[in-house]
Amino acid sequence: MTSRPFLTWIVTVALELALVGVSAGQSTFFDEGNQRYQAGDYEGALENYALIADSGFESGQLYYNIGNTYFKLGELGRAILYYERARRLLPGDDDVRANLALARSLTIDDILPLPGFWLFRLARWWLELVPATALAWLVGVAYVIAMTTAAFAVLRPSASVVVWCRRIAITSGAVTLVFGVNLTIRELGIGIVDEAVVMAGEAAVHSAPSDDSALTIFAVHEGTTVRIDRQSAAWVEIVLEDGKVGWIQAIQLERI
Amino acid sequence: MNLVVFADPVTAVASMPPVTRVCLLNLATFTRALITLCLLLTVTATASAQEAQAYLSQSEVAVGGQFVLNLEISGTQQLDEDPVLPDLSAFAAFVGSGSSTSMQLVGGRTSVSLTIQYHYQTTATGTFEIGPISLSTGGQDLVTEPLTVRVTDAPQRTPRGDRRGRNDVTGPEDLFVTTTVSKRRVYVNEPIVVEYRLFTRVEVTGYTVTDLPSASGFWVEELTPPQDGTRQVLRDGVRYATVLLRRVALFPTSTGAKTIEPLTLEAQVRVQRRSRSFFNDPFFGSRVPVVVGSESIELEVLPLPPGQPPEFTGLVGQLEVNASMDRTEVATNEALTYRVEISGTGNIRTLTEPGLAFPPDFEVYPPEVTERVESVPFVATIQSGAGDETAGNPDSGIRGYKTFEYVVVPRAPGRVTIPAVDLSYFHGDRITYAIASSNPIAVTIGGDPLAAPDASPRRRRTGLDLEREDVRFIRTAAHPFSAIGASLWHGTAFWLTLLLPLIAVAGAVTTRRHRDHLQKNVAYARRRRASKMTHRRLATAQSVRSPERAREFYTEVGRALQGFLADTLNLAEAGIMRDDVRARLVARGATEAAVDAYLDCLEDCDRWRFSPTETPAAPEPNQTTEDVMQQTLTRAEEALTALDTCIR
Repeated sequence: MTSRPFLTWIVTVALELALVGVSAGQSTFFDEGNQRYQAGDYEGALENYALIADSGFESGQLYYNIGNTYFKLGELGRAILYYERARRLLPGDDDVRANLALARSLTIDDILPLPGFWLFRLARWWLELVPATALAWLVGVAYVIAMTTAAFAVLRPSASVVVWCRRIAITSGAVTLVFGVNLTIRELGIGIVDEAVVMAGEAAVHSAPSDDSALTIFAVHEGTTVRIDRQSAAWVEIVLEDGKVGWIQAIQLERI
Repeated sequence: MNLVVFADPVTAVASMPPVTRVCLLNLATFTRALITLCLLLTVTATASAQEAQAYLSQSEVAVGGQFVLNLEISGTQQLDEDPVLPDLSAFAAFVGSGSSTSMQLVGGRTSVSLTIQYHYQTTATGTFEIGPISLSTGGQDLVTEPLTVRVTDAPQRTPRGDRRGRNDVTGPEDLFVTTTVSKRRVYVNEPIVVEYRLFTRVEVTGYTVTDLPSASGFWVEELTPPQDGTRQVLRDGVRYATVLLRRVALFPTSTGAKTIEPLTLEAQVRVQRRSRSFFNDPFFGSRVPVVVGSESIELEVLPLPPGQPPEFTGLVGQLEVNASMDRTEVATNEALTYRVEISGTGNIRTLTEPGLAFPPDFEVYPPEVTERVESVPFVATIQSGAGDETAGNPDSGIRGYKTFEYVVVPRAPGRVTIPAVDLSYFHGDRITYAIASSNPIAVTIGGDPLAAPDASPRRRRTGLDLEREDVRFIRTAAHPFSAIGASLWHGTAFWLTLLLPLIAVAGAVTTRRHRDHLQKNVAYARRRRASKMTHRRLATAQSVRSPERAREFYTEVGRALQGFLADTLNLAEAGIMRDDVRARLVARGATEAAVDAYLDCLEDCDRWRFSPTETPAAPEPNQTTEDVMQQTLTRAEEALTALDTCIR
């Protein structure tokens, strides 16, 4: 009976090792895709990138490259979609921000966003300050250091060592706590709004989820990012950055 | 009686010089009686039939053209005062006036009339009304009917035969303006040279261009020479005086049918009065304004054929490029002058700086640009006969020169070649795209680049301009991929990282608590320590068991015994009293026998420790000192073991 958890653990480790092996296979796809991109074969690069995504793997870099490829192919809507996906995984990444800004500047809809509440902007800035992987490492290392030094302090080898151990433990414990909250919020996906990008060249926005063209209130164009509010069978209620609300057909959007 | 009198008008007499007037009055006296009689007769006969009528020479006139407002008053030959003319300044300027009288005898009735001609030149387009003219004659006030005149935009196209009708001074062969174009079918941006010339065989004292053609749809290069004198030419066998009015090069900017608009001018022609006056004297010759216009010419502008080379400059014509360097051997950091001269028949002014590929070590300053456009006159076309107005002479016309002068400073020694300058243009005559190239120039740069760093001007710092916007490059480093939707909590590493330090801390806390327990409870600690210390001391004693070191031996054994007691009872070793010890040991559950054995052993040790003799005397003769010592040790061990077993 006592060997069961151990066995489970062994199986888990083996599986993870296997996954690393698969991931190495994805890397070759990735490299090949990059080579095709550099050679100007954007369609081919896209095929390679799609192989990775289809096998159930993702990374911010992958989405960024897919976004670039779609940009080069002139598909602005898809480029923005993938840049947005990359941004969720690499929130603070400079390249992703720059390319997303460039792609957005080429869209038809020039929406002036409502000024947000400063506290929300501050919280968002704080949450996106450190990339996800780095954050996980930071919290992990700080946690280990805090715990180790705490253990040392408890053992009390000598008075001066204890003082230093305690200082280190308090500092790294604070780091763990502060960034741990950040990590937890991000891992649990708290506060992430459901967003989508308009894929259709021009999509009519209706005041109600109905095909009646008399209900059209305005039109949005390819590449515009919208917030999803409610959803019925084939219709989605969207909220624009400037606060405009309307219903749009779900097939004209792609969720981020 | 059939009498017709032509008399000069009163106004004409009044405007003449005084000498002339005197002469005229003298002549008038000569026939005064007759005229006075006639006038009296006619005035009385037609006094009742006075009427005034106004009419125009033409109801439609081009802007800048002239028209004549005629005022005819019948039944009189003189007016009491000048007629009051309506204000026509809104659309016409008064040029001059003249008048004539007539007397006719028809069917026994004489009729006299006075006609005053007012010459106007139009200045604005539109339809205008000329108001009624009021005048008074013979005490009678007369008013004419209002008239309407239409002033049109385009210069009036009048057939040649009409010229005589318009003015009776010159004929169409006497005075005319020609338009000469170099080509009628051109490509976009191909130059057309247009010349306007005035030909005359009458005496023209001066002229003013009243209507300069606009050149919409063309880039205009003015080529009119500032001074171009009158020349005598023979044209169709007739000797004409000709003057160049205007010469321009036109570069069509778009395709399709185009019109070169006519040029209109007003010439002052000196004419001699016809013989209908008394005063048939060449002295009375006067200047008459005559308006002449050229004809408009239709052009066809063709688009450039497809297949433009990438470096096409847009130039149509013929082009030559020459590049030169003032020196081919130079020291580092010394300035050179590189000249690119482009010449040809195209629209050279629109030519931009050629793309030059200087070596990277060359510092290049912005070029100094000079340009010059000159015309090649159409001497041949002036004398040519029938085809004069469209004479094609493609080679002549316009030629332009443009020079780009670069100051370059080589910053590194070596042998470099400045590549050729290639300019692509469209050859208008051969209908192909062609490339004009200069020769590449090899330059040898000698010297040490660091020889005179102070002498060289500093490179100017400039900002960077984004040539075009593009996305940043892709990420090439392969990062580990994670399964889509994977969470941190699903990884083993996470749980290991979370739990292992916790376990470590838990272990540390346990250890610490254990140690604290030891430190807080000294009795417990002493007890645990007791047997250990005792054993160590006994072992030490065993090692010094020899007669020579007897005192040391007994000291060790004594300490072992005392230390055990102190640790077990938690007492200081020094303060142990025999009775006290017995009581305490018994209280801890030790048997009397064990306590006695222990105390006896301790006493023996103390005795031998502090005895003055070196070695203890053997109690029995067959025993050695060493045996005694061994015996003591055994006793001590037994006593301690006994105590340890019975003490709680």
